[in-house]
Amino acid sequence: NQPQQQRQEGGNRRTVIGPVRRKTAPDDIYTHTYIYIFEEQQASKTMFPSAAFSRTSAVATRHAGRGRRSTINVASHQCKGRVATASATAASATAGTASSGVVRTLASSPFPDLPLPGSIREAVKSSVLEEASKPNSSFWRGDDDQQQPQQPQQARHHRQERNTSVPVPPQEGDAAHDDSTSTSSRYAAGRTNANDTINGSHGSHKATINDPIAQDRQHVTGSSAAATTDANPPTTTNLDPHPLIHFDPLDEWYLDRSPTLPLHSLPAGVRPLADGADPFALSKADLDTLSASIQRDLIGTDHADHPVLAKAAAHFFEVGQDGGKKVRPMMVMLLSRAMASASNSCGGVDVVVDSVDNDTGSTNAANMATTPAAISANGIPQSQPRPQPWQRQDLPDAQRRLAEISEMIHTASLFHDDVIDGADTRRGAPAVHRVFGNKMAILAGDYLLARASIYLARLRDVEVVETMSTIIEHLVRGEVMQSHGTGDVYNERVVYYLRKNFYKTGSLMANSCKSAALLGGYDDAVVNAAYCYGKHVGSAFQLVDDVLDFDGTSSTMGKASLADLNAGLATAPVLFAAEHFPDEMDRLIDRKFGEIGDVNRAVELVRQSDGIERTKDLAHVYVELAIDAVMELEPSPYRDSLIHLAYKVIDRVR
Amino acid sequence: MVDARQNRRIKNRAMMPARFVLAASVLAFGSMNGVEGFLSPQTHSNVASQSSERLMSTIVVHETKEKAASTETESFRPNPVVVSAEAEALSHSATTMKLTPSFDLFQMLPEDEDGHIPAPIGGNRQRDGTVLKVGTPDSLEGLKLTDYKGLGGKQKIEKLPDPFKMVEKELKPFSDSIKELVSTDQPVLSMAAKHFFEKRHGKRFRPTIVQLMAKAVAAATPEDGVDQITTDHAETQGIGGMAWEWSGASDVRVTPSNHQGSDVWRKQAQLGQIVEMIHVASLIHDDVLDEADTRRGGEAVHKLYSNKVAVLAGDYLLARASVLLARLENTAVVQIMATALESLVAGEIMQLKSPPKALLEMQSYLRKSYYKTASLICYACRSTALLGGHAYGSTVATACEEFGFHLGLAYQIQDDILDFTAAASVLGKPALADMDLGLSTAPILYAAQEYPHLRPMVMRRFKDKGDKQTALEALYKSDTAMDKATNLAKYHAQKAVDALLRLPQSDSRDALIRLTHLVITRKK
Repeated sequence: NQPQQQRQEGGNRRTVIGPVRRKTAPDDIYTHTYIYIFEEQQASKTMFPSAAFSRTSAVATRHAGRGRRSTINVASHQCKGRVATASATAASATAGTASSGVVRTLASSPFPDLPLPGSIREAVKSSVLEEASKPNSSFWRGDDDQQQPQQPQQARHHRQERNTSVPVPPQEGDAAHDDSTSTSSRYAAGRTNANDTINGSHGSHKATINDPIAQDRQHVTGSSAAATTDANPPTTTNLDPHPLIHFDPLDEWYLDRSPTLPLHSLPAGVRPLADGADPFALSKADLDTLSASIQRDLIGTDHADHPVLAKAAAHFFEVGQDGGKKVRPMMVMLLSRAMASASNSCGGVDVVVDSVDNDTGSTNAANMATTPAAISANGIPQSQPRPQPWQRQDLPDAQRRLAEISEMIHTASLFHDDVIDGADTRRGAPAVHRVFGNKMAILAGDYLLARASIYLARLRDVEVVETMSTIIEHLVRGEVMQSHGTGDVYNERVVYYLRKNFYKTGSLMANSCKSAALLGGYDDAVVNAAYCYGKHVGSAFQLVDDVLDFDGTSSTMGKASLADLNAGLATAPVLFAAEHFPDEMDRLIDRKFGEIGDVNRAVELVRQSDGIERTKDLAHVYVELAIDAVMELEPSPYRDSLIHLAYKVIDRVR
Repeated sequence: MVDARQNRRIKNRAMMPARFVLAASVLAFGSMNGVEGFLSPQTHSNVASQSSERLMSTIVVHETKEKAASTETESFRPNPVVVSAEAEALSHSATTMKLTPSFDLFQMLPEDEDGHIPAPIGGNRQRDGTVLKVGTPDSLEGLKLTDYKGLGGKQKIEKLPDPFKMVEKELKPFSDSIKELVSTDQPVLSMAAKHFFEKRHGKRFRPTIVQLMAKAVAAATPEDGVDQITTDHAETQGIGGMAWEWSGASDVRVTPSNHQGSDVWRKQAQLGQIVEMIHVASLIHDDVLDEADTRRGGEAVHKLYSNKVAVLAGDYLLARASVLLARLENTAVVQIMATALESLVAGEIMQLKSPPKALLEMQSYLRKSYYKTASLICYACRSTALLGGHAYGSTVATACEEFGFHLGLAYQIQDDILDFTAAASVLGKPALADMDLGLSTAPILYAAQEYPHLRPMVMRRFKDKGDKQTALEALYKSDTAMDKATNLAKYHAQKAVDALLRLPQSDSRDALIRLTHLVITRKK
């Protein structure tokens, strides 16, 4: 159990490298690419190769496989030589079974044309890359995974397993290795393996997870793969295919940016917004129930004893026409139903959409085979899916309660935040502490937290209790990070900022989603997908908030414009602008925009630079990552609505 | 690795239902109708909530009848928790605990002050003093605290083992580990949190109690409870009430000999830490709320680090406590301790927002004391018993909570008495602090009974000029007020000892008796 030990031994200290801004192409298709690499002192040895990199390659592969990110394809054509090499190697590595579809997948990864710059390589080399470049390095060894040599036939193994439903041990190590040493001549082979690793890990969760890409690829390479047979399928091992979930979730590894990204090109098989995948329509019934229940449970009608507290709580739940943006409960409810659809469909009972591959225009045969049932006319299944026999039988109620809890925790944090920030307004209404005083605001927050703890305890699942409790801890950490310190050098600042964002916003969404999956008793892949979805949407959400702080006006935002700047906080647009105007902006940041005219000057600088654009792009990348995560679930209107919800997060203007 | 994790998750989930299978079958025996929601899960959302609502409403009706019959002073019944009764009932399925506040389980005032023994309901039914001591002689049987020095008697309390010495060694690593638990990567936050653990001159009262209680309950054999279910439930509670009452115990069996160092012991020690963290968190938030300048000698956190950090540090400790609580892997304990957390808030709210009339009531004063002080102790005691393998409704767990309830009240009353008698330097917080906050405590309330002209002052929270002076003069003039308050503290201390005496004799139990003695004889 060597990696386990390493994990425990590894301290919490991080050193950060990046972001590095590079021009990778002579034309302006790729203007720049950001790399954020976290090197965690000891723990990184396990964390970043096996988890982060293979995950990244998974993302890249799937994007390409779905025919999204046309820029990536274009970019890859610029290095034709390498593509040629890659395709040749790939072809030989897969013993001639790989068709051009695989090669396209390979070549369209962002990494071929992104060799690590020398400075980074030098910095990281000592600790990670050196070790990572050894194919038999202990890094790649899973906990109980007997190191398997890199097999060219592996591609066929996996493809065959997809047909025979035999779980397959993923080979994350190989993929990671090849990502980090992208110039190696074994690149193509490694890339192929990376793709198959993804398939492999999905193969092992075949029962519950849909893998459109794999099916996509199977479609492309199908005939040749099916023709190939292999007599020795590897035996099942218990290697965790999603080790990320064990780590501190701050894994902002690679965030690539391509400004010409086509907005909202839906992945294959996802129904459009109008076709029964509207998150608001789908969650309306649930949210109405939830509002009624919050109204009844927390606010009550006749609490003559403590009207002030009741009012304080009601203040938040009722402010605005829609009672604030209840994006968190909505997310939890939609995700719960999406997962339920997935688990139902594997039993062959419930609603599933048949998916049409937009990329090729053909119907996905594999999907059709496994999902016999069609759905009602407008695609909105009305009845709540029944829990499976292996699930707790009060699952829908429990998940609804969880959604309430997440909103309660959120509201409690707002109460306390208002006291801490001394903000005058929130969501366009006067802040609680302005109306009722500091004492009541603190108490109302405490009260909501205590209530949330009790409801949580009554869910009778200690793992969920722990997960949800972590949120509160993270909220506090985020708040402290915000008020004390910014990170030192400019490249650390962005990472520090993103990390703070996770604690303040992402953690609540991520852990609520994760808890919903835990309640359902789904396997780790689903739990991980839920977690990643919430986390990335949370990050995007906060980034968009920061943009709106600059763009929105008081009336549309409901929050005083430039509130962050006035509070002395440097958000993403400012930090990106600081890369353009390091000297002047750094001074402003250092004195927290405290002097007269500082705020105006900062706004000017942000507008002169591409800070807002880059922040929007970063948010967009996060949303793409979130969509990647949720695409791992079986197709269903609810899954699709989650995708639209994610897009709504970055489209919002208030 | 996956398997291990999943197994664990499955096990956690399976553990609770497994406990309820027994209860469910018993229920089915009683009435097929009532178990419908419990056993037929497909219709859970409708049937279960309906049936549980019906169940709860019958219980509520039952309880209210009981109360109406037993006393007429129930007209004022503050509910500081802003949750509607229906909501409360709905959120309890047949398998979740229905926690009744301890003042509805145990006697709050002596009989000569209109006190009465609450009706037997879930949580206080098993109060037989003999069942646990069959075959084990008890040398302290029938002990009266008034026989001891300091309370009018001649006997020396020093004959009993010293509670603090007894667990000193066990708590020693604890002082370090609690600091470790609150350490974060944020120096300001951990400084604020550590501030309290390091600078406080408190005696780690609560962890000591939990530790001693853990040893004391290990000496008792867990009861089965099955007999009680079949015989009792029909007549007193109705269906469903018993389902949880005999649940909640961790699935373990420890004896005094193998207790030390066992997994149970470790979890109970952790519970002690959690209790201390919750307590400290509430102190930190209280400081912001009360704007008290000093607390326990050291300077208040919020003065040192600003309000902001105080709010955050309190939140942080609470969050840590919840996380650690979940790791005890007993959902009943999580629920009980979460309720303790809520009680603290409820007490604070009562303190801030009581209607003027309630300020005069002895009952509401005691309720407030319960919420603010006793609830944490008594819930911690019951949780200790649960972790030790005793079911929620067992004699042991009931005795534990009753002890904690009365000890906590005695502690608070003594604190309030000392507020008037001790100098600021001795108590560690400014004298008359409560009065400055507009709170009337036991001595003033008794004085107001004697001198009616104090009542308006109490009701307006001593806001007018000279109110405090007048009240103090009346208090010192009165011969009986202080004595009555002291007697109330003694009464609760004795009740605490009575509860302890229901447990089989052990060194740690006797140490707890001495601790009780100490609580009401302390001078600071």
